[in-house]
Amino acid sequence: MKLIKDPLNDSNPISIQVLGICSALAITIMLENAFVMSLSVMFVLIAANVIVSLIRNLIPDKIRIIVQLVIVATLVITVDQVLKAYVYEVSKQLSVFVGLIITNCIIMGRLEAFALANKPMPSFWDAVGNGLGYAWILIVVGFVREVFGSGSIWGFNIIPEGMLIEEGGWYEHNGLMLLSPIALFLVATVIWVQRTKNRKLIEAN
Amino acid sequence: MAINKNSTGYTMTFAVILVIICGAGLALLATSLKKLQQANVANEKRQFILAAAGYASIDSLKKMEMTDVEKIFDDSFTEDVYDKDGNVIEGDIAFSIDIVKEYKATKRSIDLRRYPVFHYSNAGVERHIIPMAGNGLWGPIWGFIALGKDMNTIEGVVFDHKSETPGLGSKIADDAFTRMFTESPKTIMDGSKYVSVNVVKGGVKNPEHEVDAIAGATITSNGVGAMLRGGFTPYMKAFGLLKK
Repeated sequence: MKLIKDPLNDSNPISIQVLGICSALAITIMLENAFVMSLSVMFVLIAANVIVSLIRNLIPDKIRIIVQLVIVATLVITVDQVLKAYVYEVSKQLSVFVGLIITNCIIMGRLEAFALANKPMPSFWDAVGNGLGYAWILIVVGFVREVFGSGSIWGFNIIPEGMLIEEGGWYEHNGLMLLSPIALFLVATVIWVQRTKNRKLIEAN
Repeated sequence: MAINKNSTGYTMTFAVILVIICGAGLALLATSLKKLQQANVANEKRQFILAAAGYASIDSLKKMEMTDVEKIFDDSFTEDVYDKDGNVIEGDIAFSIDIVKEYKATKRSIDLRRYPVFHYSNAGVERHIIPMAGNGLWGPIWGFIALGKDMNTIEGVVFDHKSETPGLGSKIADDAFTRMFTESPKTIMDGSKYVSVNVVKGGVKNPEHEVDAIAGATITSNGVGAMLRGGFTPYMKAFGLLKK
């Protein structure tokens, strides 16, 4: 249980370990994109963790990083091809970031730190935990950016048209929310909230 | 028998087997999904052409079933392929020409370039949709421009791009940009002179042949301008508005 709970909060891959930030910035404009990206990363992470764990006693030490990379790359291309076939629109928006899952530090980090030294079941749960830890941050950031940036949730408008400035109202979407830097602020806010609530995370210096 | 995991032989064998398994798996996957992926790409192209022709907005077309889009497309379009002098090339299927690849492949030998066109006629509306391709800042850009019955006035445009900056260059695909091409009439020919439509900075002076560039996306805007400047010539020759 600790394997799942820890990465959600105390050792969250994004907000505590600060890994995999680039994708969190780039594809969180819309909730749907953030969700598909999270699913993709979770799939790759879980499958890679289990596979590496299964063959951990066979992998020659000398080439273990390359072996991990080959496995991750294979899985990522699988995801990419499946997205292109079934959710073409989303795959166009995620564009290169699906391919860049290969370089997502969370995945290599978990493979090296956990899967290589543990049995498949714990590795599976470790991947689920870290995947969810990654996912919830993405979804929170995606939600905030979509609501304030485009006034919609999952593509459905929630701001009445009459309120918009173009239609003679007073409300205008916040364009800053659509640009990447805002995601940094939002992630930082999450980190801030988390550390305020959980004092032991604050490094002494 | 104990295997020495650190021997070179073991390492090599392991690597070879792993690569064969991964490679075979991916090849299988790619071939089995290819049909679906190609259908998606073809569907998107039909949506773009229908949207340029003014049949419906791109958003409402995206909500339609793929088979419906294909049926409407097949019912309302006839196609032609021209060479650079505007002569019809027999036996070529316009829809199968990927305009970006065609422009790229014939970059150094423009004589060989094929120019597809889609003639739309539906409920008494006649349009001629011309695809063209060019270069943006980071990669190719392309568009479908619909000309009216006079084969001269622009009635609708759709632009798309591969990797322009989101929020800047990517705005060429937005309604706010494409709308400018149809808000006031834009024509390709000025009498018998070929002028096309240009994308200009700092205010439009000649509203029949110019639209405003996008702030912050100079290179992408210039790319659209260059694409439009060059793209119409063979068609104007084919339509008899320009001497062959």
